[in-house]
Amino acid sequence: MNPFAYEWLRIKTIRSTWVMITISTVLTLAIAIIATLANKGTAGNLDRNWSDIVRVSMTAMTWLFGALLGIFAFGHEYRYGTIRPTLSALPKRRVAALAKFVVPAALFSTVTAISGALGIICARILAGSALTISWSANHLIRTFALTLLQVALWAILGAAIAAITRSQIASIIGLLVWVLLIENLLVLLFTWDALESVKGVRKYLPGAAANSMVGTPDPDVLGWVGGSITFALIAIGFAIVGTELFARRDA
Amino acid sequence: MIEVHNLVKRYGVVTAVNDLSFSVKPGQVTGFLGPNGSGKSTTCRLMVGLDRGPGSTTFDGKRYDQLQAPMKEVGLLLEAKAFHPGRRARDHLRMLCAANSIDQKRADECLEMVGLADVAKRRPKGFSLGMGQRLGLAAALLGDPHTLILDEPSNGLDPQGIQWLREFLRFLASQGRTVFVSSHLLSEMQLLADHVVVIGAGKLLADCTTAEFVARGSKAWIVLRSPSYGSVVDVLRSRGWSVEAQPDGSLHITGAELAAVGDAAHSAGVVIHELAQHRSSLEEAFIELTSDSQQYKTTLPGSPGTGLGGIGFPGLPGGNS
Repeated sequence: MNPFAYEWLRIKTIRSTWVMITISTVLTLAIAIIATLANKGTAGNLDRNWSDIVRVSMTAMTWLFGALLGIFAFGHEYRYGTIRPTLSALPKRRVAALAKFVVPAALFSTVTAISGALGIICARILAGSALTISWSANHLIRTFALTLLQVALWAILGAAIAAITRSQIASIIGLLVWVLLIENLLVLLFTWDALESVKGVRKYLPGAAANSMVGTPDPDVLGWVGGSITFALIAIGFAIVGTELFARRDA
Repeated sequence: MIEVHNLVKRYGVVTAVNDLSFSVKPGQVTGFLGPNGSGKSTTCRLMVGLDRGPGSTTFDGKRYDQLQAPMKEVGLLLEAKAFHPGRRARDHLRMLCAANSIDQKRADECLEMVGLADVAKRRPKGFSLGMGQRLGLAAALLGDPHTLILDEPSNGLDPQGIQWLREFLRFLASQGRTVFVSSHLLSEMQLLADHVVVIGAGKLLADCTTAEFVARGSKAWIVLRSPSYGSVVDVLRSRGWSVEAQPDGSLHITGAELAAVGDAAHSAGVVIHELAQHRSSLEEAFIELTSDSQQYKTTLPGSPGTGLGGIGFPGLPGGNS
């Protein structure tokens, strides 16, 4: 059996994959260009400016597309009833699930790396001599690498949510509602004095942890190490639950 | 050889498959029959582990999930139109080939085999049910498997397609392969299946050859038609046979051999216009056997409890013509 070859063919033979890759790449390039123009002529730490361009352009929207691609890995299967042919071809379910986590994560990390690199090239051309790239700068390389890891983890988390819910729509709505609404509401709640003692919890929420992987240092959020570990544990935890449910439930 | 042992599937308080055991031998087509809701599709899914439940099924001694390349050993068609509507038909098959290390060329061969070569590059969004079934069949055949499990494969096929399927499955069985087919088309199954497994309400009702099944539920009778019966009824009854006059003017004789009835009629000096042996069909035997285990019972308009007491249809019992 070759679940990875299957998943790769599955993912590359539907248009929605390429539509998402195209939109994500265009947005990354557009944001890189806008960020460059906004930073052009800015005095100060040049490496920091570059790091911000990389961070903003690569993370602004790619997390969402990474998560969507992950959701589609399981969501499409249930939506179109293809889960049965899939599991007829790949009856070892945990291995099939592993491919569904790994392939979208790897694909979208690669896409993000390419679109990020293209964004940097565009920015370099636009900025001319106003900015210089220093790839030896730790934070720039780290930001680039952590962005790829963050996108991969979002893809894994998206796939895990779809494996648990077995519904593409519920997964998309659930993810967006959590990240854009519930998590922000919780952060607001934690500003109340009555919740002072537990306000540290907000650092460990999925969106906050993911942001702190590539965000600027802030005493109220985790550092990049803590953010990476926390978000990885959240994504992997969901993936384990999703895999076990996927293995035990009826197809 | 498929061996099914004690399969059970419960949905809450409903037992869809109840301790079901049977075996399917190679070299023949085995029909899998049962009324709607009797658990046929659930059984097929349980057999290959798509649904979870107690019991086990082995294919030449191995469970489905123990097969190294399952599509090369067991071909499955469990659902029509189980494909992404935006993925080209050929890509759908190539994807399945990739999972089991099957040569990608096989996708085109199988599309050709099921008559879908012309639409290989089309997205199956607009495929009819019959085309969807053909694509599903192509998927089942990709690995050139020695065992086929097909759930209602003739659904949506046109008459030519059904005939092709029948001949094709019989050909595969003649090669020594194991062919297990569920179907509602009993007249079709009578032509196709050498052996039948019949279930009702999730329980095994029969596991025998098709001929045995028909004979077991069979009401055999002889039809005798004559312009003038004279003393023949007395002659027939005197030999211990049951004779019933029919509304169409014929006689139905049971308990007799065809030749013996002909001889008796001749000895009574009766002119015969029709003398024929009749046996119940697979359909009649099936209906008789499964009448108690039918989940979705129907009524005819005009029958008690339908609320359509005044309505009748020409030609039906209780009709108004």
